[in-house]
Order: sequence, then C-alpha cells, then structure tokens
Amino acid sequence: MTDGSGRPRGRVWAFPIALIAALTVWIALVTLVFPDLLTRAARGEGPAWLSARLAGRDTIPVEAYLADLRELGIRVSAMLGLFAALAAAWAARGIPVTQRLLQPAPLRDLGVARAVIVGLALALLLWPGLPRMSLASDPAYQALLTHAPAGLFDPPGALRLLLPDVGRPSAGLLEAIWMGAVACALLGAVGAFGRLPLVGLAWANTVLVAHAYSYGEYHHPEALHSIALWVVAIAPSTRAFSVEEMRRRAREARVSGRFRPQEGPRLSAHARWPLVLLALLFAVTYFDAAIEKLLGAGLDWFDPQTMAYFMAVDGTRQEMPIAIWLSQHLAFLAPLSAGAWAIELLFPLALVSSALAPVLVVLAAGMHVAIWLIHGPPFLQHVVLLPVAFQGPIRRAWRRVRGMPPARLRVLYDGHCDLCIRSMTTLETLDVSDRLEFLDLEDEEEEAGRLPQVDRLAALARMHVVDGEGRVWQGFAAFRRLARSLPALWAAVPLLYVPGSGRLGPIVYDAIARRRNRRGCRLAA
Amino acid sequence: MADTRRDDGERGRPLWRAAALGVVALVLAAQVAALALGTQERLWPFLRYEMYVRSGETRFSHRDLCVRSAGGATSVDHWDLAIPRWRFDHLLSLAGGDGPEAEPSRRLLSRQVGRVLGRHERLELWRRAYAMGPGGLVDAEPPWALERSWSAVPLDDVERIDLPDLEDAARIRAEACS
Repeated sequence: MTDGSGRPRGRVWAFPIALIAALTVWIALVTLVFPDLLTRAARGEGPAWLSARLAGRDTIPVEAYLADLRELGIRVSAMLGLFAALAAAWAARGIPVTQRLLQPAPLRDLGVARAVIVGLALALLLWPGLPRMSLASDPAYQALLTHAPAGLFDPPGALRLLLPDVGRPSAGLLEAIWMGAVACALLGAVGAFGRLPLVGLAWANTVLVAHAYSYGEYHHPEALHSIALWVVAIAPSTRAFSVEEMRRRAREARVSGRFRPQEGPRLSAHARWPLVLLALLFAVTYFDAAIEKLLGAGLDWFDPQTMAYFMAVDGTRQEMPIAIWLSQHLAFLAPLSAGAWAIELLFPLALVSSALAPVLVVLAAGMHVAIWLIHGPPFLQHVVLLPVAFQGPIRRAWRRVRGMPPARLRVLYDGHCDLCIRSMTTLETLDVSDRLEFLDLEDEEEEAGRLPQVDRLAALARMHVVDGEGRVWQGFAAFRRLARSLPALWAAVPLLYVPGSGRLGPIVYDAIARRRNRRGCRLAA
Repeated sequence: MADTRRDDGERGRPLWRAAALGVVALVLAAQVAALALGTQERLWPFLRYEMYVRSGETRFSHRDLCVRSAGGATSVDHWDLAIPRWRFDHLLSLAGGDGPEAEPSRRLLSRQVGRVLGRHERLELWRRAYAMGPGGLVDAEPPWALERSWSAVPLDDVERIDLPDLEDAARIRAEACS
C-alpha cells in the first residue's frame, strides 16, 4: 500500500508508531513498575541495590521519591507524546521523519542562519554590559567570579567535560578564552577558514556559560543559543553565504576563465536538519514551559494574583513602572497569563503548519519582548533565533503578503575580466534573497547586448544595473542601488550616503575601474 | 528530468545522513533529560525553570535590602562582591541581624565599599517591604527605611575576608529567595 506520493505507507508511519510504542512502555514503567519497585524497596522487599540506595537516604521518605517519579513521568511522557504527535502529523501528509530532516534544501538558508547565530554571539561578546543580555559573555563578570569564595564553585558537567584537568579556571585563562571566542566569532560570522572557528566559538561559548553557571545562578536565555552554535559548527554552514564559498566560486571562475552564474541555489541533505532541530528545540522548550506551569502552579497559573506577584517583585526591585502598575490591575493580567500559556502550549503547531508558523513566531517573539519590557529578564537570543529557525515558513508567508515579487535587478558584467569575476562572485554570494540576475556582456546569446538603453562600451567600462522598469544605474550609483537591494549590504548603505559620498564615491570607483583596465581587461585592448 | 540545480553531494552519504539523525536524536534526548530532571541535572546546565511555584499567594510580603554609603553616593551590588544574587541577599540579611555572623558580614561589606570608593565612609543598610493583597500589590512605592548603620573600619586594617563556605547552600538559597 502506498500514500499519494507512491511512498510505502509503512515507512512513513514507522517513526510515529515506534514513538507511540515507546510512550506506552514508558507510561507503564512509571505508573506500574517503578512505583511498585520503590514501595517494595522501602519495605526492604525489593532489589538489594535499590534497598541499599534508599536505606542510605532514610531522611527522605519514599513518598518524596514517588512524587519526583510522578513529575518525571508526566514531563517525559509529554515530550514523547509531543514527538509522536509531530511525527504522526508529518506522516499524515506523507512525509517520513527522515525526509523532513534530510530532504535536500538550499545551503544558503543554513549560511544565513550561521551568520545570524554567530553574529549574535559576537554582538554579545563585544557589547555585554549595556543590555545585560548575557552576563556569561562579559569578561569583567567572568573575572569577578574568579574572586568568589572557593566553596561556591560547583562546576556543571559541561565545564568539566570541555575544560578537563584545569580545576577552577583563572581570570587570565578566562580572558584568553573570551579573546579566542571573539576571534573565532569574527571569522565564523563571515564563514572564513571552514568550520574550525565555529567549533572554537561553540567550545569557548559553552565554557564561558558553564563557568558563569558554576556559582549557583542560572539563566535560560543562553540555552538555545549555545546549542545553536554547536549545531552550525557541526553542519556544513560555511558552504554558502561565506568567504569560503566566495573563494570556491572564484576558483571555479579562474579555472574556466569566465564567471558563470549558478543556476539556482546549491542544495544539500545537511542544510535542513540543523534548522528543523532548532525549531524542535523551541517547540520542546515552550511545550515544557506550558507543562511546567501546570505542574508547578496548577490552575493557579491562571489566577492573576500569580503574575501580579512576579511583576511586583521584579518591578519593585528593578524599578519598572509598567510592572508595578500592572501588579495593581489584575484585570489585565488574566489574559496575559492565559495568552502566554496558550502560545507555549500551541507552539509545536509551528512545525506542522506553514500558515501558523509565522503567526506563532511573531507571538512568541512578542511574548519575549513583553517580558523584557515589563519584567526585565531579557530574551534577545530567543527573539533572534526564532525567525532563523523558521525562516522557510516566514519567507513563504512574506511572499504571500507581498504578492508578486519585484523584478530582479539585472547586473551587466564583463565575463572575461578578473575584477568583474571577483565582484560578481561576491555579489552572487551575498544575494541570498535571489534579487539579482547576472548578464554577461561577452555572451552574444544573452540579452545584455540587446538592451537598447545600455551602451555596450560604457557597460564594459563601468558596472551597469538595470531594474525591471528599464532604469539604468552605472558605476558608483549602480553600487548604491545594489547595496539597497541586498540585505547583506544594508549595513553599508548609511556609509554610501554620508554627505560628500556622492562626489567622492564616483572618483574612487573610476580610479578602481581605470586600474582594472590597466590590468588587461578587454576594454583596454 | 534531472534537476540541474542539485550538486553531486546533495543527498549526502548514507553514513553522514545517519550521523545527522543521531545528532538530532542526541540533542533532543539531552534536552528532554535536562528539562525532566530539572535542578538535579548537572551535565547539561542550560535550561532550568525554578519559577511558577509561588502562585496565588494573596498575603505574601517581600523585603528588599540594600547597602550604601551614608551620603548615598555609593551602593554595593552583588556584582561588586562577585557572588550570586541569592548569596548577596543572604549576606545583607545577616548584616542586618544580631547573630554571630552579623559582624563579619558588615566588615566584608565595609571592605567592598572601601574597594569601590578608595576610602571609608559610614555605611547604612536600608530596607523596604511590600505586600500582596487581594487586589494585587498593596504599596506600589514602598519607602526605604534605615535598618542599621555602622562605621567602616579603615581600609588598611582589613584583611582579606572570604565569605564562609556554605554547608547547606540549597537551604540558604531557598530562604534568601523566599
């Protein structure tokens, strides 16, 4: 029997059936087998090893163990149930889990994710104090911690694993790790030297976070970002939107003697699973937070008095007037409590519905921003990572809203010129939103030579850009036009429009273009 | 018809595909374990929820403490002592009390303020309290009240004082946060 796509039905349903079986066995264990074992062991009738373990802790009654077991059972069951439901939802659409994770996807999505995730790490490392977004990235805070009483140092396993045989790290070592992290982040953000800098950054970041957590104070905004750094270090994230890719394309062009634009994005089986994994981690985190609220507070979570308490403590301590005001107006708090819980509980739907994903991402990001503005705890990492993990559905939704995309800009180039080849290679790598179309002036079959508004000799002398309405920009103006169209160059736009740049820019551009001519491009002949 | 956009390695080698699935499974399993085991988990210390437990308490009252120089120009926060917030709160409550640990705590605070200012001033511990009623926060702008003041010892006379190690950090943390 097959589904609509001709794929055997058994394969599609293999994962959900396995997960449901695992869930059933787990529930049987935690509801029947484990409690019975614990109770009998407490009476001295159970297995010897368990009885011995319980006997050593006679101050803790067996009821406490059973309560812990009940909570563990509920939370793990909820997670297994979530995974089974997701796998079943995909199977119902004829998509096996393996295909959802490993179906070839554009590498540039992964490249953009790398640039954003590493760029965020770099921003936090270099700018930690002002927004207090991540104290672990602050070298001054790390140095302060080394002066804390020795008895407070209780390193988590991650620190012992990544920094073995060092004991308590010194301030000098931590500063060296911080400097290494900055260097690796700089290289990793632009995708230079392959994945090595990314591995270095992931290691350094985890060491810094784990060290900051070694003194009894934990925060969770760092969690997903730390994992995301490892994910982009393992996945082939430098194979697109990177210096490495630019060099590869330039090498290809040198060998063939001319620049040929790529026909469509490069695909890879390893471009999809890192982003799906991040999306799954978000779903797990939010879903667990919804479960935790019920386990910790029960229906009291929906009592506005609960949120009023959090707002009163945070607002008074941090002198936040909105929180103090809200803590005195309970009528506003009931919908906030219910809304936050609903967003967390329903967030996993973003993994199965392209239509719901952008809505849930906006709601979740809005929830974090509201928490930051009202309470104070910052979740910058989550707000930045959410659109990265769900960039596919967000892009599709944006296309639906925008309607017909604007016509691509046509960039005219001399396919035999070294400088042009390098420039086009750079532009092609930066064009992650597919806004450019490259036309070779030397290719007789291409449209470039037939554009009536373009003078061919002038186009060989200066870069020309033609938009969908036939308007032509050349030289420095063309560069400005490209910078406005490519999101990767938006940071440079203010620089291109500073007063005086309109005069200075063309002079610099022409100087470079003349130098190009002297280096043996065809125009000089 | 073959899709010419795809490069040769688009589907990946079977071994690497299996490794990718393994990474996904491992990360999810570690995350679920960390969430489920909560504060007991020490290997994957990235997600902890220790809130949501205090709910619906209408008679709850809270106390804030802060220490500052007598002129009010300088205050000390837990950053200055390089200790967690909960530990700092505990230290302030000790300094404000009359127990045996009060004097060492005040000396420690004196030393830290001296380090920040480069000179010594009379120090003051201030307190404010607020409570929750049926309609929410009772006093939105609770006034600070002077709890205790003491003269700091000269900087040269103060040896390095470390906070005594805690025998029961979890208990003190719970008390400090309650």
